[in-house]
Amino acid sequence: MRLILLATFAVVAQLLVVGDLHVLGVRLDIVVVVVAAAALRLVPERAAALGFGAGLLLDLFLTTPLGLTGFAYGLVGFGLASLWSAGPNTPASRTVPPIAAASGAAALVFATAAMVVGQGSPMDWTLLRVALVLALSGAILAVPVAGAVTLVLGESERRRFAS
Amino acid sequence: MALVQRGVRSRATLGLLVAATLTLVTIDSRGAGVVDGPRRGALSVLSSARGATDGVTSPVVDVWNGIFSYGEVEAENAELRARVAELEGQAVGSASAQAQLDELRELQGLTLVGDLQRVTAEITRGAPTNFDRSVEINRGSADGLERGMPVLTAAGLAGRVVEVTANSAIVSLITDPDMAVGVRLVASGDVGVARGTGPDRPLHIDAGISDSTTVELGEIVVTSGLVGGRYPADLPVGRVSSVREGDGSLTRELRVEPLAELDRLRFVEVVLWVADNS
Repeated sequence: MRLILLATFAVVAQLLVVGDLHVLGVRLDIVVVVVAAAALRLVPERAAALGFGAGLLLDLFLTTPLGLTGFAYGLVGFGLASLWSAGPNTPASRTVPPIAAASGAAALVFATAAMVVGQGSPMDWTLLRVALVLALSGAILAVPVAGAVTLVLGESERRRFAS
Repeated sequence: MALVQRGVRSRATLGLLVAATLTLVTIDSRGAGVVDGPRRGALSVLSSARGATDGVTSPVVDVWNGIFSYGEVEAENAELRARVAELEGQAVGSASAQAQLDELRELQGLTLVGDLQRVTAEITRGAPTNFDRSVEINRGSADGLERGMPVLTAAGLAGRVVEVTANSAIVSLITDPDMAVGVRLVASGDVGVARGTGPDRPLHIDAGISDSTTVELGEIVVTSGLVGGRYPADLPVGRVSSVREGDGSLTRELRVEPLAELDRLRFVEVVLWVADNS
């Protein structure tokens, strides 16, 4: 229930405000930051489900193929949760880099998946710029978003194992 | 043992993720109604929610984009001033040509694109992510809009209406990789299909243009308007920016720069025209 609430809140924020904020011509993405911050606290399966669900919800409002954003966020959530874990008291120095990397990686995963299904353009500098700006904005948003995620998830979503 | 179980679960999760994605993409690409309904509902809700929250969110967005896009706005302003000067010069020549064209049309009794009914719309927002370059306009089915209608700027074809709610619509731009436009070269009359290759990229024509056809750089490309096509004839689409011989084939590959400035859309016109087969 808390995961659904988290995904819905992130998507609503993206649609109403964050999606209109640009840096260097790139739209900011709060959904992937929320997915990454939550993935640090979740087992990989639940992180994948959160990412896929949030992405799928966002896909409903886009003209890109349904499921592609879900796939990208689901894979990023799964990968991050498999490789990294953090608790509420983990220092920012251990949470910011993986969240930033995941934010940038999501753009690359989406572009690759889109290309595979014949809906994307070849990788180029524009894509690299998008990934870098998203990684940078992910690093800046990581601390407040991780704090908010901790508040929402509370103690109910402790990792079942440490990686 | 725990590690083995974890490995199995990981593979199962990844498999499920890929299978779910492929299923959804397939259903969506086949244009099944099961996807259209929820999408239309979601867009309708979003349109209302945006209307209700705009008063709060717009100032925040304006201040943010004012700070982070100031340099881009200045450069754009300078470029636009130069373009205005250039266009003012061209307008003199165009007025004379237009008068001659009008006279010929009247003599021949021809119906041109300019005679089709249009609705002017304002771009209210872009898509909320970096990989969807569709735009939302402030006109919908209440204004007579339907899915499939062409969308123009003063310069040329910009896209096509892909989703409609009562008071808004979503327009896919011609650079979208999912878009294909039947086109004709004005000079030779050869027809082909121009496909989008992504934002800020030229359209690609890879079939239909014979290798014996002389194609000049800068040549204008318009919609072909062939029977069964999705657009009426003679809507300006773009200018040829590069020509390449097809690899071992008898056709040429062309790159076409759209005439419409798709990254600076503000107002557009929706042509109230729907293809017979749509």
